[in-house]
Amino acid sequence: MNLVGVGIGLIVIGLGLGIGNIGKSALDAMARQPEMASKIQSAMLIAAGMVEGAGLFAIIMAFLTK
Amino acid sequence: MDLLSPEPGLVIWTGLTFLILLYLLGKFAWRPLLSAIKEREDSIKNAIESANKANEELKQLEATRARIQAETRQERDAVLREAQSLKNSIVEEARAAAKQEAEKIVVEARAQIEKEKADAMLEMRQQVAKLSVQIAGKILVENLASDDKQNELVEKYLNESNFN
Amino acid sequence: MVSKLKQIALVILMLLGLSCATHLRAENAEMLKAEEPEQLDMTELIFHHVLDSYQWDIVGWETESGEQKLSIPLPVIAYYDGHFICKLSSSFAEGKRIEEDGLVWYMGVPEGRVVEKLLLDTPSEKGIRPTLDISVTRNVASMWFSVIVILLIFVSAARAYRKSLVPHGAVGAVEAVVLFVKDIADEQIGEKSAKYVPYMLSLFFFIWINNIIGLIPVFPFSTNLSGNIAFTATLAIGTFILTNVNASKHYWVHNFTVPGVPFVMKFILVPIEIVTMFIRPFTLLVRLFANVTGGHIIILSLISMIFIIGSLLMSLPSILLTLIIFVLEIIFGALQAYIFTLLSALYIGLAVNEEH
Repeated sequence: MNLVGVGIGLIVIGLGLGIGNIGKSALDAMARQPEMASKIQSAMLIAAGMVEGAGLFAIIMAFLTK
Repeated sequence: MDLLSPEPGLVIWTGLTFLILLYLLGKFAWRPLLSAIKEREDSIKNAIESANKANEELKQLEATRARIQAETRQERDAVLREAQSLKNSIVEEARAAAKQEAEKIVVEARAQIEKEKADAMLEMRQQVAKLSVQIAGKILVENLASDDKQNELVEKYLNESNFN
Repeated sequence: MVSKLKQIALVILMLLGLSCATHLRAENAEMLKAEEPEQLDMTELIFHHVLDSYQWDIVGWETESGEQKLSIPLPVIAYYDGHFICKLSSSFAEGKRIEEDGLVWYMGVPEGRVVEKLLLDTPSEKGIRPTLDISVTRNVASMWFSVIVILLIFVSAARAYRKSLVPHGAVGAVEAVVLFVKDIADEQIGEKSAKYVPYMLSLFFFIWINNIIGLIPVFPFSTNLSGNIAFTATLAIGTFILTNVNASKHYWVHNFTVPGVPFVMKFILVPIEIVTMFIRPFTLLVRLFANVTGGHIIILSLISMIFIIGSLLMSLPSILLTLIIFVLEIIFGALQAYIFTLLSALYIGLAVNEEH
């Protein structure tokens, strides 16, 4: 159970870094090209969704294999 | 874990409910809503289009009006010019005719004068001849009495037949 | 300037409250050591809220004779081996057992589970689950309630257009959101979107309204339908079916042959593509489930902190924190509905379009 907790923690670190990076790049891009903001936003959400999907998958696996 | 195991009962109910919701919303909400929005979009598009068309027509009308105006002005100018030239020609003609008439009158007058003059001369000649003959006759009648008398006589007749 | 001061004051207040709380907690922890069950109760409370149940509790209170509850009984419908049962959940109250044709039906907590489920004893086996349990549970009832709400909102909005094509008041807001969702579908799917727009709209509002219903903490709201894995799974299956039924030839060719890579790579990429096909709806369902359930658990835990620590002082930071999370959850409720719809549209768009 403890190891599962560590695993979930690691997953969340990775997830946070990944989504944080996506958000940072998206904000940079939006600041540089405000007229493209809506397109960048949907692309950002899609990318974040993919990363989050992988992360959630890992969390579920962590729960299931305890 | 309870959390992670989907209940088949709930899956069935959700599926059924969602299908029914999809049907009901599709029929009673989305179709009228989207068609209303589409209709509005179309009507706005039509309105803009017809406004553009009206504008275009107005422009065309304006152009036509300007063209007609220009044409009218041209025509008027042409008419005026024609009238002017007509007037000029009429005046010119009249002047020419008057001149001709005047010349004719002058010529006629001159001819009349010439004729009168010729007549007068003719008459005078005849008169002179008659007088001369008369004088000659008288001279012949009274002559020979004396030279003085002859001279007196000639003088007398000459005075009588003053050329005036 | 004033708002900044307010913010700082708020943060200081929260920190004070937190430090108070941790202090109190350290003190109380020793006193409460003997009363371990109190904390277990909270887990039960949270699970009771987050998971499904056979009746719809409106309010509960303590009396001298024990816990009292005001709840709406819901129909229990189940099938096992040629036998149907259809009773109100109140007939199973207080451990009552119903015997029919040699089968004994009752409510109990099966092994490895947290909440009560409908169980039955047969002459040969004890405590098994029925083959099919299609009881109208709290979540199902809440779902029907949400359907009524959705129909009321959108059918009346659609009717408003009969009078005039220009929306007034709330209808304008409804139209704005509808057009927002329609634009998602149009952008991701392209020219073939008209067929999928009704699905996308229904999906978005079904999820969103249920998220909101889950967040309002009084009857008839406060259920955790959109945080139930069965619910999210069904919607994800819907998207999966739509994606694959309408997929173009190009999609299948791409998935099973992966053109444009060396032959050896195909042995790796084709399985990846095929797994991706199934991973996509799976992440859809897990994302929605995890976000909504996570939000509910956080809010309930923060509220529970008051009772765990057992101090009135704790209520201030606890309620402030809950408020912040609550606002966040309201945003997330819309965001998750948006992401679910956006990704559904994206997947369908990838599948139905010839080139991408």
